[in-house]
Amino acid sequence: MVSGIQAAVMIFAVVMVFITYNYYRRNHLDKKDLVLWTAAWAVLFLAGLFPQSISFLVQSLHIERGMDFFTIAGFIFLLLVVFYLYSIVFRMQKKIERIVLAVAGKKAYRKR
Amino acid sequence: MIAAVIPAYNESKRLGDVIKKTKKFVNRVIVVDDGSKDNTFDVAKKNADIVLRNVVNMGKGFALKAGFEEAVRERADAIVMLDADGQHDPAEIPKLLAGLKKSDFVVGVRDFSKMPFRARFANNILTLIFRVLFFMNAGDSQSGFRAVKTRIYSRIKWKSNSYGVETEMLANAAKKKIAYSEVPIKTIYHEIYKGTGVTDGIKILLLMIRWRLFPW
Repeated sequence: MVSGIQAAVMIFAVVMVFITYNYYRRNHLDKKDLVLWTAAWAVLFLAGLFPQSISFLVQSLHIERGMDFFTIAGFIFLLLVVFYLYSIVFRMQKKIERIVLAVAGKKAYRKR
Repeated sequence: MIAAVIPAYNESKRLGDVIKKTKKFVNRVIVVDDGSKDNTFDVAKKNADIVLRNVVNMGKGFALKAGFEEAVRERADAIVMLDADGQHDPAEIPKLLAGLKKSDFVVGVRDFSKMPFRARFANNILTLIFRVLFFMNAGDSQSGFRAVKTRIYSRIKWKSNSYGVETEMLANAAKKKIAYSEVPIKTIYHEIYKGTGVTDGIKILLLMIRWRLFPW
């Protein structure tokens, strides 16, 4: 019997697979990203369908319930994503600054 | 050689007049058009000696940085910075330059009592917090009318791309113990004010705390 929370996790995973594929079709993701993200959603789907499959992990980490494990893992994952996005934005900003400066210098008007 | 750096964003109406007045007191006027959507660039080109154009709007701090770098390339001995919206009277540039005889960094200090209430409140709070955090008796941490000797530019160079630039310059000067002085300047506010807003004020406040706690 699939519980409500299990169903929610599985539906979420299926929707995310669909969204990921759509992103790939629009060229917002490449093939490598498609495979990686689809694998991640597949793992989530399976963990929702067979929650006992992660019980060894939950027990070895001394966590009471499977849901607690997902919450903690999700939070850690979110922190990682935020850090990753921050570093990307920072690098992009520096690149934009260099480009704007270079263009401004090249197109500068100098009265001589 | 004295250079003036004027960052400008959508200031075609007042910029021409500001440049003409500024030219009387400096050798080079450098305007940085920060991705304006009006004809600021054309006005600047007609009046200024050097015009840089950012293809997109990057913020006042970035535009100033571009202008200062250009002034350094032009081998300026001192750089005056002022706003393009006519909030600073170029006729007061000689006062700032006179201040450079006894210090390396001069800030024009406005009379807070002549400011609209919101601006007076914000400037008082930010300046007070600046004094407490950086142990510097600054009279107006937000004033954008300043003169700097080019040789100390690398020591007060800022990272802020936006309105935090004035505060960061001053904070760097305080930390590096740069010889600093102030001169009183006129307080001019136009009906349409595009400067620091409430959100910018809060950001500057948070940045000040960051610069104090994490100076690197």
